[in-house]
Amino acid sequence: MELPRYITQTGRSRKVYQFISEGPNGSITKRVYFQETTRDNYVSLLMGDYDKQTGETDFYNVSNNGDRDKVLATIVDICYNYFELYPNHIITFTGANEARTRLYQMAINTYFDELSLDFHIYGELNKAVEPFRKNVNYSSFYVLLK
Amino acid sequence: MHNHNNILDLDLKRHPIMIINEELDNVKPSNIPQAKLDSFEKAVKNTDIIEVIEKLKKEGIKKP
Repeated sequence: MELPRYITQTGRSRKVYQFISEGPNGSITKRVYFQETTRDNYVSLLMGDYDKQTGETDFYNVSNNGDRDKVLATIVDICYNYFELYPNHIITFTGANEARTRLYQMAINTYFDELSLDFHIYGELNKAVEPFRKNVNYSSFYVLLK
Repeated sequence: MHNHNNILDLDLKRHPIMIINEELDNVKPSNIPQAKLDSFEKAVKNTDIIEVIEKLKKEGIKKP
């Protein structure tokens, strides 16, 4: 995926990442969190807009900053980087709403052939997990290294 | 200005530029929506991806 990507910061534990989205709505700090779940090796990926003034992250904001593909490519970078330190982890993610979940699905559709070289990608459909198929509306996604 | 010594070129294939910012090690997200966390917990509770993968390996994986 040779799309433009943002330079990203992370801590040594690689549990939190941040980058600056640049676009018509200004510079927006995006933060990506890998949150442990109660199940070993399963982590959830959450992304939101970080507000330096309040110190809080808005997980529902739609920034419309005109850089969707660059943001998505950056998230893929982040996943690669995260897996370097945690190769046995399984990342699960979903959108903040149905539209966002569909957006993630379209992104996986678009880059599936390339992503599937390195990752197993699964979707959850009706409480069952199956290998990702294009044009199926999943409620959440799972990614792990091959 | 970032110190070049702090720039990690970690992935040989993609060459992403990752900069270490140790302040991020101390970040604890305080306002993650509980509904979102609950949905993840619900999702992972009965999901055994490894088992699914092993099963598919035995059956043969069909490319989507």
